[in-house]
Amino acid sequence: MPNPFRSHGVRSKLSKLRHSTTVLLAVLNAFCISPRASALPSFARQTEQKCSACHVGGNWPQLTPWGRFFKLAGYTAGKSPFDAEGLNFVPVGILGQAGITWAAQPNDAQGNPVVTQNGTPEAYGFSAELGTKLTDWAGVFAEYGISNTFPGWKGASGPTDIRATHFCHPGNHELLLGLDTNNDPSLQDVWNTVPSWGYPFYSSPQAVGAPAGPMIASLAQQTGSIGLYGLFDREFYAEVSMYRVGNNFFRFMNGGTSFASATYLAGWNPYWRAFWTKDSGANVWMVGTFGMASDVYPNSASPSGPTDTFMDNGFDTQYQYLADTRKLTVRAAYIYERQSWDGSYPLGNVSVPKGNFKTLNTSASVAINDSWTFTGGYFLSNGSNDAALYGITDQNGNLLSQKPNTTGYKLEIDRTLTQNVIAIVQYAGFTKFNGLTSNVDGLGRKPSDNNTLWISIFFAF
Amino acid sequence: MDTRNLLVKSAIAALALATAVTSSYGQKQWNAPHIVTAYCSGCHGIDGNAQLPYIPKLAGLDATYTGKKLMAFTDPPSPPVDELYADAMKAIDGRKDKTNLTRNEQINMEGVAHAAKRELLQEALLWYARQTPVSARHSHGLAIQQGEKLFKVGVPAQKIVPCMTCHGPNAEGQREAPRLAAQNAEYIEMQLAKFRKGDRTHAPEMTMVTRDLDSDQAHAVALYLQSR
Repeated sequence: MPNPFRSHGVRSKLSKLRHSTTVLLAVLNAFCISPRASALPSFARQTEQKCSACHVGGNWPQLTPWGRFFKLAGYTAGKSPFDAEGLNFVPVGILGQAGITWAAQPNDAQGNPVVTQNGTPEAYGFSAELGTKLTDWAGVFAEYGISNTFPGWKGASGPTDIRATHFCHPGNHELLLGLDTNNDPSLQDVWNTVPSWGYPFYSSPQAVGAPAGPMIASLAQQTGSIGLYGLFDREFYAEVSMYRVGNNFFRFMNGGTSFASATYLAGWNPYWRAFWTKDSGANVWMVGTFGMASDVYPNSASPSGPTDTFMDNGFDTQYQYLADTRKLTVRAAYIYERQSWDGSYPLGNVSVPKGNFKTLNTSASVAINDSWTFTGGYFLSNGSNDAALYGITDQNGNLLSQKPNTTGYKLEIDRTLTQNVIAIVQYAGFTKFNGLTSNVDGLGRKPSDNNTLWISIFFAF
Repeated sequence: MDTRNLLVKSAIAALALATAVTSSYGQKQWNAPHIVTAYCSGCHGIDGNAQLPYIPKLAGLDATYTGKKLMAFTDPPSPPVDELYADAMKAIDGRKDKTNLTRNEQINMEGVAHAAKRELLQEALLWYARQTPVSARHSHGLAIQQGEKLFKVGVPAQKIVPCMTCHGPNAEGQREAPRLAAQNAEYIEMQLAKFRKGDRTHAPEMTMVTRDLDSDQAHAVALYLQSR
């Protein structure tokens, strides 16, 4: 996978699913919980502000109101990297992450590893970032990462977002118009509820992820888009972007992606976003909706013929209380996906022609004095029966479950050591896995056997 | 990578670089709303009525006063964006971090004051001086009454002089003393605390008059001013 630090899902399950590229990717992209390196030190150099001006408590990637506006305005505030006097600041930076993971039960009942590298300190990857204003009306945010693939290292594009903006003033109002291109649906968004930027912001690449995720969260670094957005009086936002497979023209932001094994979109696929946000004193509310209609080839190695159709409808809300020293953020997002397996069903990759998948993701963080952040999160996913996709059998071949239903939680403490270095302690727990509360792999494994404790250090210079 | 991809990539890179260079060299006409939008309005609002309670409202504030405040942010050297490096250098050459700025000012203002050109910020301050401040609705009746008394009469027993002596009967500001009416309460309280500690050195008379002010009194007068 091109995305660095990707979560691996359940290996025993993966082997069963290998016949369906789409589903394999959905599994690998589970919840899209893979961390995306996000804070860009070069933006701090550009604005000469500290990380905590744009990120709540200095803890990336949760944005402050100013951080959201900086992004929507096209990363244009602050100095130009070059002017008549020469170089003003270095528009590139380096990010890196390392850590150690302990699982409750790293091996299954037959001794096969579910969590590899258990208890082993590991470097997960490094990325170079380019983040800068290009002109007074355009800016870029791009990363290229080299990630540890256990074993081996692989270079690939990371999140990339390029935008141009224009302010108009109809009457006494302000309208910000923007043109955007990026390589991951919802990467362009400014709220920490959408798949690209939702909690958990970072997870151990070794930890077990949820066994399935919605399509909108499964397209990172496999797509390219053209989109248009408008922000009216800094309260109402609307956007439409069209996504297509990230090869050919969009290859420049999908380096390292193998499209023969990627999620291969057919044609142009619409993504939409609308939100309303309101400030009142220290309170900031947002309610919004987002979604995507995607046509995906069942076999990306030969992208032709009938496609699977996914209709993702998302609803999200975020509340922030921003006092000087203590800041609270509460987030919730719900995604309902309707699936039409018109491509995969005739091939026998799925066992029913139509299905659905739902996820709920809620979390709350308290940041204190730009040095500590405490976060708790609760996740739930539900889906329709599909024995080919989600079937779990016991050793006698009896079907135990054919649902992806998984419930879990995360507890996390982050310490911002200096604004360039964050230490993370995260506990990830499951109460239900693969639709089962016991014997989740047919070999007697409990959901809580997948629980992990993760200690990590993240730096950005 | 095939030749076509390489060509497309190179073309995009060249275009981006060319745009960046030409636009930075080009002479651009900046007007006040444009400057305010680029540098200030993310926190202070376009009309200067900041929503976040610890960020000051700039609407209606005299540009001479705000200009002086802004100077205080440019006095210290450029903020250490690369904090770890700065800390290491400090340890090596034994320098002490001496600043009178609050953490929030260091986070937000020090950077902007350095990143933007002085004459652009001056335009922005003149723009804000022309805006109309909007006072906050409130539900702190009793505290506001106490605050009003303190503002208008002072506390003779504690030798606290009435604020209106310098700031004007309606807190509209006069001479050196800035407008306080409609200012965010949390911001006023933070500034009063700074004066009491002697951290805001450019107005020594404020350190004198706030020396005996307790935090309840500061809270009351801040709520009163916010409601004006």
